[in-house]
Amino acid sequence: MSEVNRPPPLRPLKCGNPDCAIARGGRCARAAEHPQPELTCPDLAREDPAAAPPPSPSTQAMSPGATVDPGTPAPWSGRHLDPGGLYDLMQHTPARLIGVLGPYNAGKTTLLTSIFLQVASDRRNHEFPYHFASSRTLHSWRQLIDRARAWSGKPTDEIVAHTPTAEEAGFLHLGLRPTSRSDDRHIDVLLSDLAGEWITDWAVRAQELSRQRLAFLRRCDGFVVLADSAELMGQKAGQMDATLAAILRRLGDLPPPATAHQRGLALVFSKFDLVVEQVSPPAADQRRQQIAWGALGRRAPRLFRAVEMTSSAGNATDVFAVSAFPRPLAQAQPIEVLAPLRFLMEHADARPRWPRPAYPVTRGSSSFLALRRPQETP
Amino acid sequence: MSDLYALAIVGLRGSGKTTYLGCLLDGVETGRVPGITQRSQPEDATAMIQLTARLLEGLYPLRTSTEQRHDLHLPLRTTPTLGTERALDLFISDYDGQEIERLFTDRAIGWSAAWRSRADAQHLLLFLRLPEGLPAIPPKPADSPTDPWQILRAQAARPLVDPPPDVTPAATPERIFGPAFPKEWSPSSAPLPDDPVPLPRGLELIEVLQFLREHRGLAPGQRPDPGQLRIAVMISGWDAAPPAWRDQGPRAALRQLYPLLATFLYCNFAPADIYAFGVSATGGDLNDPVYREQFVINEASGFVEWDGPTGLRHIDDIGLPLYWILTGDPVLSLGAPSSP
Repeated sequence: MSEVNRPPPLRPLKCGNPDCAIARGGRCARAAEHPQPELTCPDLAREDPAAAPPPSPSTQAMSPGATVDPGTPAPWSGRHLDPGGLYDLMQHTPARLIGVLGPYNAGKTTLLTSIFLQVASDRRNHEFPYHFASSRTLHSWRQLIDRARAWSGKPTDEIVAHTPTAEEAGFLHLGLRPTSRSDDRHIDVLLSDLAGEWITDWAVRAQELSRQRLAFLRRCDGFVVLADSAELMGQKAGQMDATLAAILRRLGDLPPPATAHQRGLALVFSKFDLVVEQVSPPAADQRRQQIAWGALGRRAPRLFRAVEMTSSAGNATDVFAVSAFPRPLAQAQPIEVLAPLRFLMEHADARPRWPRPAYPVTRGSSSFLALRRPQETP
Repeated sequence: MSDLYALAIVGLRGSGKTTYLGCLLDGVETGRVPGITQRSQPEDATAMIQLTARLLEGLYPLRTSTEQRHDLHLPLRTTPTLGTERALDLFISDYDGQEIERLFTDRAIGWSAAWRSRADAQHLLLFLRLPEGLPAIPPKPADSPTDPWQILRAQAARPLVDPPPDVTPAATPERIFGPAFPKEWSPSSAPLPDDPVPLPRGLELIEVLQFLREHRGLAPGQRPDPGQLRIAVMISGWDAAPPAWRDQGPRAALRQLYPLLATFLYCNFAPADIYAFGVSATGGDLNDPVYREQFVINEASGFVEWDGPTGLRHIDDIGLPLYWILTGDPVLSLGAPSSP
């Protein structure tokens, strides 16, 4: 990082970095690199007499050091949406908001990364009937992919970086178009990417700060709750079971969604490749039964009880075994990563047809209703 | 009176934009691009000279570290090859690769006025480079579904269980009669458990296209009216593609190598306004002295291949994508069937 003092900034302050709040009296987006941004930050517009003129129609060369029309920032930053960006998008479109929850190290961000890779390859339309149509957070997706690509394959190494706790809630965005040729919609799907510590705090202690951070949960159209299979089969099973059950109970306490859709809840046993030797994933019609999960189910009695309670509260629930990265990207495909999202979208994107109206028909009537078959009287 | 056409050229570094522009301009001057001729000398020919000078010696146009931006105004006329002769003014501006990458990673530079003005271009030439290290044979579709959990266990030396029964896909009209509309999307094959997960390419290009659409007031997923925004997808370096990839055609190559970009284009533009072309601006490798000699004395030239209405087609005229942008699908019947 350069500590060279630069020309004085223009007044009022103007910054080309869309993530920066310094012009509004807030914090510089690059404060970590530039403790004194007005002296050193290159993003601030400055009194630069050597600034290049606006481009002309003839050929011209661009030198990296020239100041180039910093005026209008890009329409969006491509990074995670903050809560302000989230609500702005949701005010303009009927977006589907999916809360991705789970304790620390459950694999939330890893699952999101794997989901994007599968959607991007467009080879699983039979499992997930949507095409990729847009994203406002492409840069964030790429950062996650770049990190995952470098994973060594060792279970002890991080696949993606842990979501930091110090920042605001972040959301990743996918714009999807159904694969059906008769369905021309563009559907915005927003996926929360939160620190696990926040989620545990909210579930266990529900302090005011936790409630504020997770206030968006009330608006969610579905939830993915991740349970680390390896942890549940390990020595901390009891603690993990209690924490996960607390998360599900909190979700069950949320008021029902304002939309007509039934809210979905997908419990995902993540990192299932680490326990597949000991536990076989059950058939689809048995997944909600604790007994069907064998040794894993026996270690999570509170969790499965909470699943039933959540289901009784009106949420559509299902349980999935998932392996987002069984091996490095170059060696193997993930397993079942799209199944939870498909399940949630079936509910969040349900398009119930209006029931056909039943008109009583009088025999002998001359109206068009007489063309209908007369209703049988009960 | 002449028709005005504004074209924007979009592509990352090394995608072949500069080489193609230089060869195109050279071809217009020498007649190797027979569909269009120069109507008069442009007011400022500096750009043309800079792009074509090195090609006259059989050298690739230089790409310096400070990528040059090219804004060209070409007063042209179409020839009878394209039907009725008409005058047209072609304005070509390019989004240089370095700026695209910089815009993607660091919004500090921002979306400048120059970029916004280029977003008003009527049509686009979108350049993609064939990735290096392509396998000789493109990946084949899976024959039958497999249980990935069983595969994992098998690799851990546990006995295999019986494979699941084959699921016969339901008979649908498309399966029996083929797709109703050839340009509609066709489902792709599922990967095998051991297949590598492909890394998405072209995210920066998608972002630029999203910005262009946003500037034009198009909502995500909203398709412009047909003919309003044509995009010629130019897969450059096509001469270096393995034969099996060339035999598949550029449309299949786009789907397999840039699936994210391909679905983005399908979902956001009229299918009839997107066409993929395999382009070799020089026809071969100018770093090969033997080929360079042939190129300089006009015994070798660039070519274009595309998936025509009746199969793969080939033409030794790199102007074909431009003809398609200007006049639409009828020109796709030009050329000859590509020899296997």
